[in-house]
Amino acid sequence: MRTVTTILLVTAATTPAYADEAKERDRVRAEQDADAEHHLSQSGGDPWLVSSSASLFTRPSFFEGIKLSSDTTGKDATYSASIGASAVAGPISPLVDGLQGSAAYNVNGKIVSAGVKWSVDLRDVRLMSASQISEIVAAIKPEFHKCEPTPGTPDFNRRLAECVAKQDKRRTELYARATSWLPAISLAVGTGYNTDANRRDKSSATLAADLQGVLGPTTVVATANAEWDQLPPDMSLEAFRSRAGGGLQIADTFDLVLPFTVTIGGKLFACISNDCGKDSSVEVTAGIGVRIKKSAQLGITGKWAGSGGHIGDALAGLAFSYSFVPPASKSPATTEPP
Amino acid sequence: MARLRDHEIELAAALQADIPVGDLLFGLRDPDRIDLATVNAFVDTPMTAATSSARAELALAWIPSDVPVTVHLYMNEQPIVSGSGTVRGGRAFFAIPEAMIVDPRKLTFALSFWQGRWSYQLWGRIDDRKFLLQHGTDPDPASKDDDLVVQSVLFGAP
Repeated sequence: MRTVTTILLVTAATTPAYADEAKERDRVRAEQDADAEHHLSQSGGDPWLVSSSASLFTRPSFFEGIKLSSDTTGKDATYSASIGASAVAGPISPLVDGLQGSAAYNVNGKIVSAGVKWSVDLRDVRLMSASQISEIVAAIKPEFHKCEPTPGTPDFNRRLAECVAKQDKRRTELYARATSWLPAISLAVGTGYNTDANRRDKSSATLAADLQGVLGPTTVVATANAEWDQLPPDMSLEAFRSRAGGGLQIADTFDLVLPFTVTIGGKLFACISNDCGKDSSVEVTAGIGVRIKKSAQLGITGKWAGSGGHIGDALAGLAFSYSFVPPASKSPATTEPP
Repeated sequence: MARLRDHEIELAAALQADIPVGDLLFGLRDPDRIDLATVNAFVDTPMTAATSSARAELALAWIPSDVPVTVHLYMNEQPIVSGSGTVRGGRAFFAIPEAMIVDPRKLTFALSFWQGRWSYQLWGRIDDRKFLLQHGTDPDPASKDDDLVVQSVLFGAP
């Protein structure tokens, strides 16, 4: 079964707990920024799991502690679960935190698949050199001195917080300027097993790069795949069929009633083995993803695929995912007397 | 240095698990003196690493250790001279001049973490007495607007 996939990029969040609307809007925007920066999650199964039926693109995802997801296309469904290294051990290093293991089950194809994905965000501050940090530190210092509260200033702590926040704003700008051209990249391998036919199914390797700052607020995701498909013995084609694909996707986040992300992308697949039995194909996807809770995402996707000059099927899909973030610690301690 | 690395791993694990790190942290100050060149690479002037000769000091430990933290420290709203700037490396020590330790001993600290998923513990020491002043963990790793902590605590006994 050809993997027909659509991605949902959900990069927004909301919580109705704040009475103050303006404050809430600021918060939502800040979370959107943060999510956009860290690509916290994508709804639905990960496309590098070969049995996933609803993802054409992948992008690096970080800090997905434990994620359960499902996606449905037509009458088919895939259920998947993944766990990240940082959920087990906490943040260790930018080179390890993006390691994820994942498993999935595709209902129609009766395919069980498992995979490993490694991501690194080259914009991670932990990867910055001492000199890069020193430069920023030197530039933000005057910002603080401009507004530092003097002893006896009424509401000292609030004034201090506001002043540090100004310094932080400048720091964020400088940091973004220094790192905007850097991508976040991910590399994944996955393989499937057809439990009905008792044979190995498709295996795949995927490389994805996520770029922000090259097209203003738009995120650009570039993906390259290679797939190896073991065919049933009775087919006259060679035992392995391979194809390679590459494509581009763009994603933008909007903020109306709920924050949502619109994505559109296209990918071209070409056969790379001797006899594939079919021509190159093109697949186009569009999706809307809505973050309904901080950790829950809902997505609606549309997909069209054509191959060999023939117009293929158009499909619609529904995806849902829920992420468990490792619990934050307890309330802060009170001051201990010596 | 292998021993130092072991202690650093132990320190990070204790912070992750929110276990008090006082003895471990102060025990790591002296290796820091050996490593002062490295520490100072990320400590901008006029910050200076406190030494055990200081009568009173503050010790900050945090994870992820490679994430820089911009620190501002005040005693009774007076800036602590060596306590304003940016540090990196997972631990930093700040001497408090003895003359500043007067009632009401209100220690105000601002910690601005440059990236989320942090945990920290702030300890005080007067002579041989060590005491935990405050600790905390990033409430929401996904949010950038909660990475600044500004609080006041009592420094030692009144």
